[in-house]
Amino acid sequence: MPSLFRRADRPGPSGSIRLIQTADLHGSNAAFRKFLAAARQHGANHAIVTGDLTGKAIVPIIRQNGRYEAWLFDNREVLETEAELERFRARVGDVGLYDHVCDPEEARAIEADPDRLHALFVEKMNARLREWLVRAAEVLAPAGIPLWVIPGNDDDPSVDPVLAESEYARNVDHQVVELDEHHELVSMGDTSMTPWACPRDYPEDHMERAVAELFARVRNPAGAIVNMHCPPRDTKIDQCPALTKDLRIEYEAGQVIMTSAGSAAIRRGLEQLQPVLSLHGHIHEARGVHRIGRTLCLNPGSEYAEGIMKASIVNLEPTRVKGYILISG
Amino acid sequence: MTAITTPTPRLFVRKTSGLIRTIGVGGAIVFGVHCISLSSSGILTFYSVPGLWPGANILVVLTLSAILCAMHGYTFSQIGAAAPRAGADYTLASRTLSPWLAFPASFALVLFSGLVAGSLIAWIPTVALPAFLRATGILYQQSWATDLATFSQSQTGILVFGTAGVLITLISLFFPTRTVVRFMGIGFVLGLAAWAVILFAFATGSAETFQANWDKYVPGGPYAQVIPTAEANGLVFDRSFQNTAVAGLIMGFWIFYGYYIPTFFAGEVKEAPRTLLWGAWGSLAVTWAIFAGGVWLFTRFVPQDWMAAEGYLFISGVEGFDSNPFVTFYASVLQPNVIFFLIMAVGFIYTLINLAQTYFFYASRIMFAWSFDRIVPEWISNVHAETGSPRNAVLLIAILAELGVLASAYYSALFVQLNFVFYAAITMIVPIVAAIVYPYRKRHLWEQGAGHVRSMIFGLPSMTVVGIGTLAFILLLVASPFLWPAVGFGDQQGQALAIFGTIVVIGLLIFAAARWYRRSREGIDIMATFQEIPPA
Repeated sequence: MPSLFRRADRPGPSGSIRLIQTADLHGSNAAFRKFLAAARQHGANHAIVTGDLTGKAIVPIIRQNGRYEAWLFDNREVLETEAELERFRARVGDVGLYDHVCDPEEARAIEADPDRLHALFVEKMNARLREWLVRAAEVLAPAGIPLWVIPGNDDDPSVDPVLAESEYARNVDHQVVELDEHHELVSMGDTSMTPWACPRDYPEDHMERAVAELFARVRNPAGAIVNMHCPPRDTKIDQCPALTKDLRIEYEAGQVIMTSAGSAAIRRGLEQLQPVLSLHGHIHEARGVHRIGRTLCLNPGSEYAEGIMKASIVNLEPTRVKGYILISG
Repeated sequence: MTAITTPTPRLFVRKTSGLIRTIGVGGAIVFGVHCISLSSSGILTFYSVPGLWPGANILVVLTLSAILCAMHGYTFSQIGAAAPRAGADYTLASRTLSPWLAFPASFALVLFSGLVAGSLIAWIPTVALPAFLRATGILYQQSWATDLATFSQSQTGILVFGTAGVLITLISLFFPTRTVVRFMGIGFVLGLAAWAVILFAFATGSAETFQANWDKYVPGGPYAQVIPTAEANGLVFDRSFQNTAVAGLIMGFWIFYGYYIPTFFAGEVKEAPRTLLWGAWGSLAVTWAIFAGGVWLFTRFVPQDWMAAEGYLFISGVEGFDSNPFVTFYASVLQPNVIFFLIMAVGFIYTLINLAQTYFFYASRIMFAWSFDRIVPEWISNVHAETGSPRNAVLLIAILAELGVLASAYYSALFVQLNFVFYAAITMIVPIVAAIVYPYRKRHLWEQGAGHVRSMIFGLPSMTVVGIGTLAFILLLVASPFLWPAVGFGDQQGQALAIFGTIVVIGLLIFAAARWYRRSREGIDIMATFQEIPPA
C-alpha cells in the first residue's frame, strides 16, 4: 500500500517506542485513571509520571444531626443519605482532594493542631497512592506497559516508602535506567525553590550538582530521555504568574504578569547534554513545547482540579522524536 | 451571654506550591474596558449609531445591547471557566462537539480578528487623526492641518498611516510582555483622561455655546443646515423600536465587543469563574456608564436627530458640506482649549493602537492553542528567547491587519467592522452550542466545574439555559443583515457569505492536511487530543 494512505498512528519499526507521560496529578483519581486508560488506548510502550502525585487539601465532611455537610469549590453541599455521601466523596477524589468525615469538634481540633493535620495528610495521601499503584498494576501489567514514577516538589518524603513498596511501578528518582538498547530515562523530582519552600524545593547550587551528577551517568545522550519535574528556565514551559512579596499575583492593566519559574541548572544541563527528549511538569499553566537545540522539551500541563487528565504522547526513534502530541480528556 | 464558637473549617490545606488562586476582579474589569476600547467605542456611539440608524434612541441602544451582551458575557465566562486555558472557546468546542467544527470556526475568527485589527488601525487616519487635524485647522486657522486631514482620509493616506500603525503595533509587541502590558496600562489612563475631558466639556456646555462655536469653527457645515441638508440627501428618521432594537443588536454588540475577550486568556486568569464573569459584567457596566453618561450630557443641548444627520452626512460623503461627527470634535468645539485638545488626541490615537495590540494578543493566544493541538506548525507558537514575545504569531496577525488596512482604504473601516461583527457572530455559534450541550455531553466534567459553571436555573444547567438565550441573540445578529439589508451588507450579502464560506473551507482543508501530515509522517493522530478518555 502506498505510504500516503498507510495508517501510521503506531510507532514505526525497530528501535521505535511510544511514551505516554503525565505530571501534576495531585491526587486526582479521575486524572490518574484516565492516564492508565490512555496508556492502553494509545498503545504506549512506557508510561511515565513526572512528579506531584499527591493532593493539596482535605475536605472535612461534617457529620451533624444525622446528615453531612461540606464545602466544595465554595459551594455548600448537604448530603442526606449514605449514597449521596459516597457520590460526593467520589467527586472530591476526582478533583484531587481528600475527604475526612468527622464531627465539628474534631474538625476544629485538627485545624488547630498542625502535627495532627500533617499526620492526617500523610495517611490520606499514602492511602490513595497505594490504591493508585494497585490499580496501575491491574491495568498496565496485562498490556506490558511499565510505569516509571518520580515524586515532585509537592510530594511529602513519606511517599517514597509507599512507592518502594509497589511491585509494579518503579520510583526512578535520581536514577538513570535503560528503557531499551537505545533509550535511557534520566529522572529527578528535585525542583528549584518556590515561594512556598515545598518538601523537594532546592536552591540552584543543589540543582546544579544534582543535574551534573545525574547527567554524568548517561551513556548515550543522543537517545536519552530526561524526566524531571522542574522545567528548564526561560522557556515556554516554565511560564507562570509573577508574585508579589505577599504572594499575590502581579498584574498590570488587568493582565497577569508572567515570569519564569524553571531551573537554570536544568536548562544548562540540557544545553550541554542535548538529549533527544526532555519531559517536565510543575507549572500547570505552562502546557506546551520548547526546543533547546535538538532537545524537544514537553510539559503536558495540568488541570487535575477539573478532573481532566493531560498527557504527552511521543513516538521516539533511536535518536529522534518522530512525532508527539499533547492530549487531554 | 452568647458563647462564641469557632467556625467549622471548610478545607484543610497543606503547604504546597501554587495555592494562590485569585487576581482582583478590578484588574479583570480594567482589562475588559481596555478590550472594549474607550476610543473606538466612543466614536461608534456618537457617530455610527445615530448616522447608520437615524431615529434610534442611543441611550436605549446602549442599554439594550449592554443587557444582551451581559447574557453573552455570562455564557463566555462559563466557557472560559469550563476550559480555563488559552483559546478556551476553541478548546471547549473541539472537545465537546468536534474539531472539524471548532477549528474552522476558530480559524475564521482569528483571520477576521486580524483583518478587523487593521480596520481599527485604519480609524486613526480616517477618523481619529482627521478629527484632531480638522479641529486644529479650524480652531487655530492652520490650513496645513486641514490639508493633512484630507490626505489622511484619502486612500493613499489610509494606506500610509494605516501601514505605519500596523508596524508600530507589530514592533510594540516584540517587547517583553511586561512592557506591552505597561503600554496598555498607560493607554487605560490616557483613555480615561480623554473621557474626563469629554464629559467635562459636555457637562459644562450649553446649546448656545455649541451652536455659536460650531458655526464659527465649521462654516462649511452650519449647525442649522445639518438636518435639512441630510434630509435633502436622503436621510429618513425611523423612530420605531425595531430600528433601535436592530441598532442595539448589531452596533451595540460592536460597541461593547471586547468584554468577553479575557476568555481567550482563560489559561492565564486564576479563579476563572469569578474573574471572567465579573470582569465581563464590570467592564460592560463601566463603559455603559461612560458612554451613556456622555450621550445623556451631550443630548441635553444637542438633539439626537442632529447627531444622526451629522453622522449621516459624513457616512454618505455629501460633497460641499463639512461634517465632523466625532465625539472628540464635539468636545473641542465646546472647550477649544489646547491642553484638553492634546489630552483627547493622544488618548484616542494611543488607545486605538492599544486596541489593535489587544486583537494581536488574543489572536496569537488562539494560535497557540492550535499549535498545542498540532494543527499548525510548532514555529507559530515560538516565543523569543529573551523577550518572551510570540513574534511569529503576531507577525502573521500583522499581515492580516495590513490586509484590513487595505480593505478599509478601498471599502471603509466601518464596512470591514460590520462584516467582522457578522463573521464573529457566526463563528461564536459553535462554542455557544458546545456550552449548551456541555452539561450533557461532558456531564462528569460539568459536575466537577467550579463556580457558576454548574449552577442551575429552573432545574436546568445555567450553561444550557443562558446558552440558549445567547444563541438566540447571536442568531439574530447573524440574521439581521439579511432581515434589514439597509443596515447590513446592502447588496453585497452574497459576497459576504462567499467570503465566509471560503474561509471555513480553508480551515477544514488545513485541519485535514494537518491530520494527514501528522499521521503519515509522525505516526500521530491529532484526533487523539480531542477524544474523551474513560477512566480505567
